[in-house]
Amino acid sequence: MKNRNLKFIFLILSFFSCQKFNSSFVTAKSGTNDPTPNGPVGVGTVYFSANDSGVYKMFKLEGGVITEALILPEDTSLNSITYFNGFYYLGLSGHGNSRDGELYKIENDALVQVFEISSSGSSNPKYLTVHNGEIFFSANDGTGGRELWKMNATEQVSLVSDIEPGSMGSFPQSLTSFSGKLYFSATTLNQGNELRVYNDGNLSIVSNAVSGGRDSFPSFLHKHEGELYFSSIKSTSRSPTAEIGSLTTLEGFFNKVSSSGSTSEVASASIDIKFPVSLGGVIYTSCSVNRDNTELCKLNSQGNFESLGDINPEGGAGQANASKPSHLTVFNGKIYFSAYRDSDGVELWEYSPSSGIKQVKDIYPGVMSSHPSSFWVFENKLYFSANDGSNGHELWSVNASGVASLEKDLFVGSGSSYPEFPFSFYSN
Amino acid sequence: MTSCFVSSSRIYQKEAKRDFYLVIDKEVYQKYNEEFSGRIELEVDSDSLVISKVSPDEMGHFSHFVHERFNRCGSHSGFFSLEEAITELESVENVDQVQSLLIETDIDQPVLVEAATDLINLGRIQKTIEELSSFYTRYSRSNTGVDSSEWILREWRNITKSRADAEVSFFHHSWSQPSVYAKIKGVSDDIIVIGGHLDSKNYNSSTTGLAPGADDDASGIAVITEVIRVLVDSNYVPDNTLVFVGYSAEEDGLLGSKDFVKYTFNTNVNILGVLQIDMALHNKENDQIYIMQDFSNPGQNTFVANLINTYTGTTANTDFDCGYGCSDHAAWNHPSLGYLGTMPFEAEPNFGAPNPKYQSLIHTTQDVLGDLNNSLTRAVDFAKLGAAFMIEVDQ
Repeated sequence: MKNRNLKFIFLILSFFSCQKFNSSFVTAKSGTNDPTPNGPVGVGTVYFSANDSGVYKMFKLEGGVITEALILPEDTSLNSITYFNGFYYLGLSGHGNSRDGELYKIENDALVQVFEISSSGSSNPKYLTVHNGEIFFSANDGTGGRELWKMNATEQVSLVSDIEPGSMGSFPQSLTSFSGKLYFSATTLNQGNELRVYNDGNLSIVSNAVSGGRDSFPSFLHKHEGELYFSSIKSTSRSPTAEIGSLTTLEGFFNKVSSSGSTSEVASASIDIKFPVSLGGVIYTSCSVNRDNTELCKLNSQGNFESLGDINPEGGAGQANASKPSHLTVFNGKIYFSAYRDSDGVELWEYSPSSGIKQVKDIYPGVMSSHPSSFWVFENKLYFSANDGSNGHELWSVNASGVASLEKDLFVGSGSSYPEFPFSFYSN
Repeated sequence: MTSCFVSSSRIYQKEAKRDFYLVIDKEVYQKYNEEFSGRIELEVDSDSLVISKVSPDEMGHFSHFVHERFNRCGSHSGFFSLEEAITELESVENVDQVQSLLIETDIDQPVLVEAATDLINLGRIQKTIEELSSFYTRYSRSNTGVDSSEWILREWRNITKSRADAEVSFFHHSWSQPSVYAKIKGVSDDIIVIGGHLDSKNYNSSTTGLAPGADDDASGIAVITEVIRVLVDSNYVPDNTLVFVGYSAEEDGLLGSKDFVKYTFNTNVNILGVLQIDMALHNKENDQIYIMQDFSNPGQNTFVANLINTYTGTTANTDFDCGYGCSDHAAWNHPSLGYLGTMPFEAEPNFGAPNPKYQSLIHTTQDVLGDLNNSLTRAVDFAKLGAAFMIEVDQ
């Protein structure tokens, strides 16, 4: 491990128009180090990555103007980005034989490698999360597997803990700073995949008491009214038979951690509980109630999940016919999400408590799908990626009036720019 | 490759548990009933299959029984309603519906095929298997399973980033892990599909636990990844639309492929061919590649056998059945056309034999790349087959 501190690639290009890009976003809010994913609309800068005709670049959007900032190293793409101490820090993913999937920062519109964690390949830093004046992330140094790392204010990078000793790694995920502690999921061979907490240099396991066993696979950590909610699956073992072995059953669970650190189960559903968001003091998710199709749900005042409607009634029963809402994102008093219907494919939908569920736009007309994803709120718009069938996966937006339109066809023609998620699957 | 089509992940809920309807081999039903009398109910009796009603609490026991005793799953598929199960049973038993899709397809594109297959790189296949099998598990409801899907998405996007005719996207399901698909669009919307499953599962700890799944089915995804790469690198421009899929939740009962197939059928595109790559690594005795004759398309099976004989370093054996819908090819069961898929297999599928020739350690912690009987040249054979399939069907 060594600090290369090389200046990398730094094309500062001028204005950019009619070029294709692949977008991922981060917002810098004035006076804070917290670039909250899908946070409140504010003034600032949004950085995104883009595949411009085979070359990944970083662009920025300020005041409605898109400029190209720099080119990423060959065969890398953006994993994660966060704002810290006045700079944007990036975790890049290296592909093929690339050794450049490492930790970087943007300084004067140049890309500077902060640290080379893996001397033999790419460490692929992910889930960059600001917590108590440091950035925490997962990375693979090539010998110890994917583990929890951190970078302090002076850019000293170090391994937090070799949680799973040996080469396998503990796969830290869903890093979330809450109540002065860092919560995340991680795996050990002895304890399985469970929720863990880092507090003042100490690491401990959180959720075995909730899961009742190993491998609860905590995910979708979501802060709501002073508590931290997360999804899990619950493994319930019963007595083994002499011949068959142990038996396990599973169901989806929603749990919470209080500010004091105590943990409790909140509600259950028959399949995984995904993409939680808060609107008007209520938590909404994608979930399946009593094994009905997976639809948009809310956690009602009785503490039970309640389906808000069948978006694909013509599909009939069975999970293959479920609308499977994904990427729930709050914007302008509504929840926007992608969902499937037989007549339209996977398209953009919205929900508000007053007007219920309705489709925003059949972006790819007919039964084909536009697959809206990578939602991001910035400057009074909801940005997202979608494919209208003519322009490929491009940057779309919903304006304050709720109208969806193609923001820019930056890769002119049918090619796709593949907008991606900047933080993690679980945050968007 | 799935050993059990019964999805224990779908059956449990805190309240109002419902029974589950399984379409299973009659032999399995009878054996289970002999040993555990009265624990599952017979709803429909047919020639070789039955529909049995199973309580949620019984499902884990039944799944484990089939895996342990039969080294496979006797259940064809599981459903939440008897009506769905009857529809499936009728479809499975009505083999007369099966039509040949590709019997007119000639094998006459050696220049194009070899331009692609000459670029196949064993080391890249190895690296992909290493990456995928390094995840703790790729189980469809695990967060590491989601990470593995994301890794594939990014890899496929990077490979195709220079192609304006390509798109790579997630395909979301009710459970956490999305499937991943890539398209290289042709002039025609007709599609040619090659798929494998991106999930893994450790059956020894029921539904969780360490599951490297190097052969089952990191090898299939690695093969498909290499096929995409060599088609892109050889600048192949298809007439039809080439579709590459990494299915989620195959190990839970073909759930991901059922979702994807349902969606694809709904779009009404013509399907020119479907190839499934599931277990493409183990080659204990320099064996042939075996093509499963059941739950598959007979004309296409013959065509794929010819491709193997023409373009790979081995030959095809077409004398074996899987005995059940053992991978995602079985999900491609069109309501009017019947089975559309073909499933070539790494070695003789002598399930349950004392000296299995295929990788019998699937669904355990020992399904690792370093297994002494694994051979990356076998994976190269499959990559050659995959590229040849896409090109020859396309042409």
